[in-house]
Amino acid sequence: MAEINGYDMPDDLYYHKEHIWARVEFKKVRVGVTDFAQKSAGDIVYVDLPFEGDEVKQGEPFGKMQSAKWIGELYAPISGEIISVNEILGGKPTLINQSPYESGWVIVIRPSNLEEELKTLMTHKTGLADWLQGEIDRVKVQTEGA
Amino acid sequence: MDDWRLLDTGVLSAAENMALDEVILEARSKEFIPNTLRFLQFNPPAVLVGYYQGVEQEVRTKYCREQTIDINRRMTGGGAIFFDRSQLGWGIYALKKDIGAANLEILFKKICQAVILGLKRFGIDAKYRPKNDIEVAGKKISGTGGTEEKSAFLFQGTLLMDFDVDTMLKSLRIPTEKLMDKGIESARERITCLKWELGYLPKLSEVKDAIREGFEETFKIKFAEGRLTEYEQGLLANKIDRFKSNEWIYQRKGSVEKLPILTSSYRTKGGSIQVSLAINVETNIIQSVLITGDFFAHPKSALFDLEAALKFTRAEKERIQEVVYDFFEKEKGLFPDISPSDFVDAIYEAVEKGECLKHGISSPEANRIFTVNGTFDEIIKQKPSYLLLPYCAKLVDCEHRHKRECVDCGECSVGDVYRLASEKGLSPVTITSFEDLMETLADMESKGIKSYIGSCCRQFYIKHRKDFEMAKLCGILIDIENTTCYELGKENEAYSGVFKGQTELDAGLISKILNSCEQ
Repeated sequence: MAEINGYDMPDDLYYHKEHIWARVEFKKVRVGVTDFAQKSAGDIVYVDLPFEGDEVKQGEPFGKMQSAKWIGELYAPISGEIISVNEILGGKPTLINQSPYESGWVIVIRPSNLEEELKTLMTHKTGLADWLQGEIDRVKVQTEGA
Repeated sequence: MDDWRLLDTGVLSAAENMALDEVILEARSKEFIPNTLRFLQFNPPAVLVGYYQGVEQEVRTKYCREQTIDINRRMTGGGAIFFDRSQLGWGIYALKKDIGAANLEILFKKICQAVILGLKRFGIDAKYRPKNDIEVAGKKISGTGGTEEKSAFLFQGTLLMDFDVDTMLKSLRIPTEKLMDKGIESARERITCLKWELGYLPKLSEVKDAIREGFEETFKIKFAEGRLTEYEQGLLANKIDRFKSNEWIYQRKGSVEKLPILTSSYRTKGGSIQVSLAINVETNIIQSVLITGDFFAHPKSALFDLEAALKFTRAEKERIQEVVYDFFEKEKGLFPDISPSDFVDAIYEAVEKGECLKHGISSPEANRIFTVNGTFDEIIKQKPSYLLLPYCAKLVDCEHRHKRECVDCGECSVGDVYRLASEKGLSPVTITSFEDLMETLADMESKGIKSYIGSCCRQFYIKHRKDFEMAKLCGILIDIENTTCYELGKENEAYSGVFKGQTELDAGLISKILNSCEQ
C-alpha cells in the first residue's frame, strides 16, 4: 500500500481533486472516498446514494454524506451510467471510515468517455503526492496560524 | 474582493426560510449573486429537523400543531432545533475559494470566529467549540450546520437572544434530557442566550450590526445592503411548494425507528458518572450523550464540551477512547479524580447495553441489566448454569427467607423464578448475605463454573461491582423491581442478612434472558 504522509493512497487508483478515488476494473470504474477525505471528515453519519441507471458527469455531484453537522457532496470522477450502488452504506455509512478502498466503496460506473477523462485524474505517477502534500501543508499552516 | 451582500429577509415562515437557503446557495454556486450574509427570523415559531432526521423521532408533532409551530427540514446537517421569534438566524452563502479555508474544520472555525467577534462587542466572551458550536463558559449560544453545492457552501447558525426552555422541551423530543427527569435544569446548564448573559435583551438591530462588523473584520470585507434578486425570487417561486410539501418535511432518510436510550452508572474514585446516550443501532452512531454525576469538575461546563465531542461518533470502544483521550489531552486537570479510562468505561458500558436489543429486550429493560466481566453476548454464549437470587425478594416471614432453597409456595416472585430456572436447566440459589455471595462465587469458581445469571438491585451492583469482578466469573445481573434496602436506608441490616423488607424479582426480564441463553 502506498502511503502519503500517513494517508493510505493505493498506487493502482486514479484520484479526483474532490478527494474521490476511481479504480478501473475491466470496463467498469469503482468509486469511493479517499482515506484523506474520510479522516478529515471524521465519522460518516449518513450517506445519500444515487440509483442504478442514473447518469453522472465528471465533476458533478452524485450523492451526499453527513459528517458532524455538515452535509457534503460526493463528486463523480468519471462520466457514465451508475451500474451498481453499495446499498450497505445506507445502514452502515462508517464503512467509508473503516474500509474506504474496499467494503466502503460507493458506486460503480460504466464509463462513457474513460480514456479522455482518466487523463484529467491524478495518479502516483502524475503528481498525486505533491498535490496531497500541498493540501496537508495548507491545513497545517492555517491550523497553526489560527 | 467585491462587496458582500447583507441580506436581511426579516420574519418569514419556515418553508420560505428553508427554501431560501437552497435558492441563495444555488444562485451563489451559479455566480449570479455575490457572497451573502443573511439574517433570518421565523413567524410562526418553527421546529427544524436536520437534513437526515425524521420528524416523528425528533418532534412532538401534536404539540406543535396545537401551538401553531411550523415544522420543516433544513438542508444542513445536525439536530432538531426550536426557532421562536426571539432567535436570530444567520447564514453565509459564499464561494469556498473566497474563504480560502484548507478544510472544513478551519472554515467552521473562521466563520464562528466572526460571530464570536460580534458577541465581543457586547462584552460576551464566547468561544468556538469543535466541531461547530459557539459557547459562552461552556454553554451553547449558537449551534451551526452547513452544506455545499459545488463551488459554494452554506454555513448557518442560530443565535439565542432569549430562550424559552419550556416550549423547546415541549416541542422537541430530547430523549436524553427527558430520561434524566431534569429536562429544564439540564438544558439551562448547557444552553445560554444573550439575555441571560447580559441581564437584558439587546436590540435586534444592534445584534445584527455587531455580527455584521464581526464578519467585516474577520474576512476583511465590506457589506452592501441588498435584496433578493429577480433571479432568486424566480427560484423561490419555483421551489416554495416543494418546501411546503409533506414529501420534503416528512421524508424518511435515516432510520425510522425511535432511537433507544441506553444508560450506565459508574463509580470512580472521584464520584459516580451517569451516562445516558441515544444511539442509532442500525448505523452504530452516537446521536447524543448526556453525562452527569456527583464528581468534581472544574469548570463543570468542560463536561458539555466532552458531550459535544462525542456527538455523531461511532459507538465503538476504540473510537470512544480516541475522542475521550484527545479531549483529556487538550483539557488537562478538569476532573481531578477521574481518569479518561473511567469515562471511556462509563460511556462504553451504556453502548454495550445495545447488545441486549438484538434479543428482543427493550432499551428500558436493557438499562436494568448489568454485566460482569464480559458483554451480554459473551456471557450468554457461556450458557450460565446458576441463577443467584437475593433473599430480600422472599416474604419477610417466610421460613425459607434465609435458606438457599425455595418451596415455590406461590406467595412471592422467587418461586416463579425458581420454577423458570428449573425448566431451563439452571440451578437456582438464594443468596442470604454479602459473605454468602462471595463464598458462593468462590465455590462456583472452584467447581470450574464460568458464568451465572443473577438478580440484585442497582445500588448493590454499583457498590459491589469490584467484588463481583474480582470473583472472576462472568455474569448478567438484573435489577429488582421495587423499593430496596438502599432507598430505605437499611443497607447495613441487609448486608448481614437481617433486612426486614421485601423486594420483587423482574420475572419477565429474567425469563427473556434465559430464553436468549437457549438460542
